[in-house]
Amino acid sequence: MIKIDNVIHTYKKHSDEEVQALCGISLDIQEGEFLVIIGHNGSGKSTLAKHLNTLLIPSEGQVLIDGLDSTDPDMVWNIRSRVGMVFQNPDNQLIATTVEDDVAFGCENLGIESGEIRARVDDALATVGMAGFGNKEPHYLSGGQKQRVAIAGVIAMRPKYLVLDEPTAMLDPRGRQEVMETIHRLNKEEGLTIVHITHYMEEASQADRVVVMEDGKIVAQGCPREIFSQVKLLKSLRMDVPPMTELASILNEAGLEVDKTLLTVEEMVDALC
Amino acid sequence: MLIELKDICYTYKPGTPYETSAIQDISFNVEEGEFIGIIGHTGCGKSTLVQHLNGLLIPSKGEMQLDGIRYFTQQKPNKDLRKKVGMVFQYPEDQLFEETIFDDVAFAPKNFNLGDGLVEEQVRNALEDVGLSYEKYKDRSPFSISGGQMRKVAIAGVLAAQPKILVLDEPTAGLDPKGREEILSRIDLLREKRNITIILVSHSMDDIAAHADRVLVMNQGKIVIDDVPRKVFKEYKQLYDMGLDIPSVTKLMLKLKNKGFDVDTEIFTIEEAAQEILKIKGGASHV
Amino acid sequence: MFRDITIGQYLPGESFIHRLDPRTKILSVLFFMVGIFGLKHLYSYLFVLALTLTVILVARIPLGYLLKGLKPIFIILIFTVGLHLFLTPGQILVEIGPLSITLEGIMKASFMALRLIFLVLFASLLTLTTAPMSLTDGLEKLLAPFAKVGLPAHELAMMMSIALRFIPTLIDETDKIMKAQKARGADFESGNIWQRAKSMIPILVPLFVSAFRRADELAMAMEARCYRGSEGRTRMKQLVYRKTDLIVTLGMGSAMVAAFFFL
Repeated sequence: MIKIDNVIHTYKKHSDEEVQALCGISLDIQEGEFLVIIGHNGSGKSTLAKHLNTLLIPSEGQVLIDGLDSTDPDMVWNIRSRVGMVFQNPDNQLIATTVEDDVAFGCENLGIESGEIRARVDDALATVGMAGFGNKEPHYLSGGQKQRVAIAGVIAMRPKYLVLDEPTAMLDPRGRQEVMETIHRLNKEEGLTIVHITHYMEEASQADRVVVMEDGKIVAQGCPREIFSQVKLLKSLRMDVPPMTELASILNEAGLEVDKTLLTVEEMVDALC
Repeated sequence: MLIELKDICYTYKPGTPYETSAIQDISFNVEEGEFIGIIGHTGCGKSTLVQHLNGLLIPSKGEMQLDGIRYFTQQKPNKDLRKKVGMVFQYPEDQLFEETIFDDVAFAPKNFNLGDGLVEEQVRNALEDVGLSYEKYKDRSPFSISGGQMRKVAIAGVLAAQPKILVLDEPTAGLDPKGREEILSRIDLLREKRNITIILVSHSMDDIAAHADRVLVMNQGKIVIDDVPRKVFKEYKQLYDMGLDIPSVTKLMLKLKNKGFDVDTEIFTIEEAAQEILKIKGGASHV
Repeated sequence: MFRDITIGQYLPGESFIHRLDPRTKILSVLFFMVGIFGLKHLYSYLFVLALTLTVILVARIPLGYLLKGLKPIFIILIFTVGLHLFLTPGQILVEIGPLSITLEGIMKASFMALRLIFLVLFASLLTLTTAPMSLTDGLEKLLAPFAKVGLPAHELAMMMSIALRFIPTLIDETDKIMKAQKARGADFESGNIWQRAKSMIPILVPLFVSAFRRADELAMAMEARCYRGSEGRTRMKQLVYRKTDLIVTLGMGSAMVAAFFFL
């Protein structure tokens, strides 16, 4: 379990003024959970994500990963091998000139024996649907493929938690779908705990739990239906609401009673027929 | 007719083993003041196509007429074409380079030899057009502002040359919903205020449906549909085959129609959908 | 404009040369470089030519592809040839104004040209037959003994491999930024040298800005994957120095000693 306890993070801008990026965040992430964090750019969601594997350390408060304190310098590598992280820009996280060497990179850093790395690399590439691409150069892959290679490089390290910091923001719809299918499969089949950061609502609608962040605070959390039915709140934060949920809210206002928490077209059809 | 493209073809690396045909037999016209949306998958040729409009690429075959001037195959385009057609690339903030926002936005007008007095006016107008205050921003460094603002400054840098036609390649890529909405509404406003013809390349069917008058659907280097949004979504089967989606509201209407309800299926906004549903369910009496 | 460069490219293959340990190949190229500057006679050049052709044949690299790689050094080649052709004193054959061509000049110029061509060909053969990762691994291993005297062998190899990884990305990016600035009316083709150099600023500044951003993000991604230098690090692909490698290294070494001193 990851326990985030009243975490405050302040940093200095170039102008020396202090900025509070996280203002007292408390959040528990359960094992096996699919958690989505949504919020605008600058809402603090990326800063929070970087606290989960000690890339950032809280200014105040505590982050405990399976009971390990992230402020303890001796625990850094232990924590990082438990919490894998995938970033936004697919180009800026692949290190090696071939796909398989890149997937091996993390395992090599962990000091794993060569034959075992080979097995893990092949396994990880198959899991993300990139078997047969081992000798390709990252440069020739599509955005979605690059992100799946990045995911493979992390899961080869066999982490318990996978944190993805807007992995779909720079992808086209097809690439987004590829990545989403991959991480859902990892969650269901491999039991990996997922923390997925995004601003696409349709990605949030398939989560176990959604956390909405704004100005360094958590403003709402709950299952997707609870969150999205708060159409007014989301609109006031200028976030997207799934179109069917918004339609349901308008219909209710006009006096036609339909389930306010419905999310999909199919659900709307059922509600109307 | 403002733009006329006839049988445009473009081949990358002709005569080498890497020869690939990017677009084939592209023909379409654009009227002054129109808002055209171009949609299709990565690699369908839409970026290649729009780069012809300002002469960054020269067609391997075909001819093109822009604002009364004809351009032919292998004819080197002049600066005039670049001035008339402003081009906003994907992630345009990558092109910022000057020390101040003023200098960066002034880069295009200076290159196109507008007079000094005029340059200042153009920079002012361009910044206000994207919703940034001239006085507040002109002396700041373009690297000291937020990502969304950098995107706006980059777009202003294209607008400052006073193009007649503005081409935008995925202008909202990587932005959050707030940023996306801001950019798109600014584009709408530009067209209203300055009567600029807009060509918007996008992956998002919803964005295109909500803003464009006409949609060009591209697949494998060809234009496969050229129609108003309402009619385009009727071809949902064809769109599905190309891996493109239709707005979920249209999807709902099609499903309701299948269930035997008498609803208009040429609909893609939530408000229209609500009215149609209230009509068939009779809920409107409560309003 | 950058597409013609073949130095540094890798052509995957299964030939004898491809399968040699990268250390063998790096050492052989080193021997070769030293060796050819000792060549004196025509037949020693023939010997080196035969050697180079043999390697090309065994590696099954298309000759045309290799020769294309000579394009970037064409100007250097002309310059060197010109210099030696006109400035070598000796028996004058032709006089053009103040310049004179001598028999010795012709000899020296053609030998210099041949040396340069052999050098580039052999270096290209190294990169064409060795995967970038294995090249940097080999370099790291070869430099490892010098780590004791403070040479950062691992870091140098890592830097080289990252550079190789990002070259194509940066080429694409340069292309894109160039187009974007052209669309804003920038002109890279006219004006004198000074103006042209100045016109590169709108390309270079964004390139630097993005390179720094990339470096930053990459460093973070590497740290997140537990990178902490060479300490405790293992490798998936281990280099194996076989008997054939030893034979090739020794053979190459003695051939070059022979070329240097006796031929």
